[in-house]
Amino acid sequence: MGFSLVALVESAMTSSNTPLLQGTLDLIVLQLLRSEPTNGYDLTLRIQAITKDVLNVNAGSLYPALYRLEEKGLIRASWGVTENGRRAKVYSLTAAGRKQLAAQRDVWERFSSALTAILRTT
Amino acid sequence: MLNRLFLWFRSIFLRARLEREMHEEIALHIEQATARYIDRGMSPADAAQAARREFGNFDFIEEDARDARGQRWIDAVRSDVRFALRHFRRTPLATVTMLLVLALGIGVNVALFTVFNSLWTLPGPGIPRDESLVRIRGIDVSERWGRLSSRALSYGEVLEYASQEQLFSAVAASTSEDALLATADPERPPLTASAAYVSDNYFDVLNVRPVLGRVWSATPLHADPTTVLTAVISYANWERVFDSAPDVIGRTFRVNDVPVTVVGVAPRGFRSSGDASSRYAVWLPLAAYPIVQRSELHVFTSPDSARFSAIAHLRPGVDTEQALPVVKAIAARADAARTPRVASRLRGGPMRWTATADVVPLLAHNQNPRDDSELKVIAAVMGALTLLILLITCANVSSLLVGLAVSRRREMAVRLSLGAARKRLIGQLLTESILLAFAAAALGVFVFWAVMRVLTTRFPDEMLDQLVVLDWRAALFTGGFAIVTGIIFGLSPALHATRLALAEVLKDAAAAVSGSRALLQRALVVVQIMLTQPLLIGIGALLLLSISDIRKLATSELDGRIVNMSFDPYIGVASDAEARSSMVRIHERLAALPGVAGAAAEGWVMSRSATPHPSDRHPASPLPDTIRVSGRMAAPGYLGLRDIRIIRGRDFLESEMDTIITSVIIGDDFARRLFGDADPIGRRLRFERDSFYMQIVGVADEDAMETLRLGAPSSYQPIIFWPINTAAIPGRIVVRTHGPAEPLLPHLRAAAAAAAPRIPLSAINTMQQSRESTRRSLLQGFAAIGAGGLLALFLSAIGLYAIVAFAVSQRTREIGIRTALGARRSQVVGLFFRSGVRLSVLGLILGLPLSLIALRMLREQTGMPPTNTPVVATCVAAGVLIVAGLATWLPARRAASVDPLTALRSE
Repeated sequence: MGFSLVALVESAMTSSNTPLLQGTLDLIVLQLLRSEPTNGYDLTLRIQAITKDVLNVNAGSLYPALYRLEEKGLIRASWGVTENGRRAKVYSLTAAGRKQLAAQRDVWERFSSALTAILRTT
Repeated sequence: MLNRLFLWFRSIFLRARLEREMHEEIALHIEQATARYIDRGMSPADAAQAARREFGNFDFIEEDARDARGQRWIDAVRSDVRFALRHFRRTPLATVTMLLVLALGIGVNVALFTVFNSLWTLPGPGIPRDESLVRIRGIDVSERWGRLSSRALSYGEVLEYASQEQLFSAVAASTSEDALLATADPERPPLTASAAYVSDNYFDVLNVRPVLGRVWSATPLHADPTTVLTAVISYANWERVFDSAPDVIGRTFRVNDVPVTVVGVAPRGFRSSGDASSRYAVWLPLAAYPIVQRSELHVFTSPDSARFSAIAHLRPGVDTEQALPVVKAIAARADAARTPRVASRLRGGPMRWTATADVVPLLAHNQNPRDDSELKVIAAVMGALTLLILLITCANVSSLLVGLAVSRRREMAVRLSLGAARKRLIGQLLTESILLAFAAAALGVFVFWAVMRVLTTRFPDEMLDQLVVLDWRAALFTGGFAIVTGIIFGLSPALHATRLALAEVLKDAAAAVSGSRALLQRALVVVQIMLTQPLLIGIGALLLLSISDIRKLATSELDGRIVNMSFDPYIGVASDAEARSSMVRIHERLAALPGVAGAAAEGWVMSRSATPHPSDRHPASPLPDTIRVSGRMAAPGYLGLRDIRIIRGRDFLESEMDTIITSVIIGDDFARRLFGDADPIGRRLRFERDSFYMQIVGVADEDAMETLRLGAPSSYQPIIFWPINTAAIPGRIVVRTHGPAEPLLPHLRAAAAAAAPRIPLSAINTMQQSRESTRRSLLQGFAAIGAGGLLALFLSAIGLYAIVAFAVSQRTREIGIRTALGARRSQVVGLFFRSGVRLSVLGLILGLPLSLIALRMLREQTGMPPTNTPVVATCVAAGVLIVAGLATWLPARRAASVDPLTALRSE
């Protein structure tokens, strides 16, 4: 057999060239959706507002991230109505998403505190 | 989990909607962004532009989003299919060849599955599928030596089952007999039909609705037979007896001379729940049985009379397992109630009774218990055979694909080097083969369907009407089978085609295909040729045999002046005496017709073993102690009528036609072989299970006897004659006319009908007509076998072609060098041609022992003289070589057209 499953998985993982960033974006989306269901555009605005425009999440990475999370069952999409009466897709967190968020946040906090420690010492 | 499944389904089936929703979502995003920019004071146009710029490239984002949704593979499949179709268009000849070969391999498997699926999952022609329908089966009554077998219940048992309301919601009873059907129309001769006597709820329980009129509604089992009898007729009966008249309801006809009124016509194909012997069925109320069959009422009352079948509906929640103990208990009680004397007499007679009982789902395959076990064996054998055919076809197509892949090697190499994933290429190639398999399956199913249609319309009596149904199970099987087949024959070539040393291929210098693969392919072709040969030799020998058979079919100038008439003397008459006197009347009337030279009764033809008395046979007789003979019963005068001269002794006497017969007439040749030169008259022969010997009273011209045979003697089975045994009434009369008999047939028919209107004439043919139809069916049979052999040859030829074609394209470079170095074209062609022929010769030699075995079997089966076989074997070998040579020459010739410049360009 010329190909193996392992090689396949490896190639799939390396093809997304910014795994850290992607994971971070997922974490941000999950965290923001935890408080209230939001549509795509409002999510970008809120990210910009909260991070004071430091993180400029563009639509090109946000929507694929949303679809991926929906595919994984971490968030759920439903149709709602905006304040001016437009039909809009609203995303909310699922139970699995909540669990994932807690785990990811834990990982992130340990990672960032380790990173901070390194940056301070050297 | 469920959620994932939902999303997965959504991504397949709701693709269009997902796309729409994605567009809508993005549009809203941009709209909202635009509105925000306007709020900040931009002009609407600038705001829209800024929003769009900020968003980025639509197509990229949408594509990424699709990826994220795991939806890309659909597009991949779609493009793979397009790719495959394009490829097929480029190589139409190869595609069509593979399609035909695969259609054969897949088609036979699908056909087999469909037939057995219908038998095992359908309740029978014309009956709607119903899981709760069961058959309650009682005593196993089978003919001791024959194949007849049935499961019967006494009427008392049926009533007991009907009272088991906690198990069965309804129980219907039926029993059937052959009966005589006659209409008032004098022009229409009476007809032997199957009369089924059924309980009033019979059609309700089976849920069979009439196409015309009504069927009885569910009333208690006993109906009042004193009023007019009503009948439901089968569709075939409606067509034949009533010419499909729309006003058939209310018309009267006679069943065994009892008038009945038509109240309904059963749907097309519905024959019965399993006990009808003929398509021309008529259903009568159960209570009519004693009247129409002229039997005593004890058929209903006596526990000794077991002739009923029962169909039942299980109550919801009850299964056959739960019903079985009750059924067994009731059957045991019924068996205990049987008069011991009757039971033992029946058990000693020609019918063997085995007390047993069970309850099984009402399915076509369990109509007859004996058929059931035979069907399983047939299914297993046929299944193995069809799978073998599939394997061979797959192997051949696989070889062809490997050969084709060579010409695409460059394409593959270029794509691989441009970064295409090997997995993706394999997927593409597999899509091709699966598509091919699907197309082949569709073709196979279509051909099967067409053949079934032709068969059912041309031979409605032989075929089970509408029993073969292409339902969802068959469709599912076909689809699954096609996918599996596609992977089986496509995977190996696909792996092979994509495993490439890129640099070398791009330089056109790839090494030859892996040695083991090539070896395997070659071995496969050799095996095919090996198997083809005995098949073809067998066919050739049979063909020769049939040609000589047809030549040997002794014809006589008398054939056109002999008419065989067959009657059903027992059907529908009150007594044996009536049948006997009717047959005598018919005989007299026929003999007295103008143009008729004479008439004589003829009995049945039966194959029996004969043993000469030990002290009578000649010690040097070449025949074994027991000889198989073809025995015929003949009335006095019969031999003279057929121009069979009595050489010694005498013809039978009228007085010898008795319930016990003791005299026999044999042929002169047979007599010589048994007794040498001694006088055969007075010597003794014993037949089969008889406890006494019969005496030879006459010796007749054996050559003349041969003209009685319709087929050729398949092995040496001498004809002998007995006087007619009057224990049974023979229904056959032979008439000899002065001139050609054919114009007289209508007169003969009319005379018979006038002499005995109640005796149906089941067949009337001149000897010439019978001979011709025998010959036709012989030829048809051999044509079918011949077609099978040619198909096998065709398959081997394709395998051979694939190998040589592959070798040629593999060695293009080598050919180029050879040609450049001065090899002549004929030398190059010869190189490949010889390698192909070598394989076929090897196959032929290896197949020789198999052929010898096949020939010996054939000789034993048919008594074929051995002199013809070397001729046949030589012919077959030559034929195989010619076809194999052609299959190798076609691709080998391509080697000659290789241009050395093109072939060596890459050097």
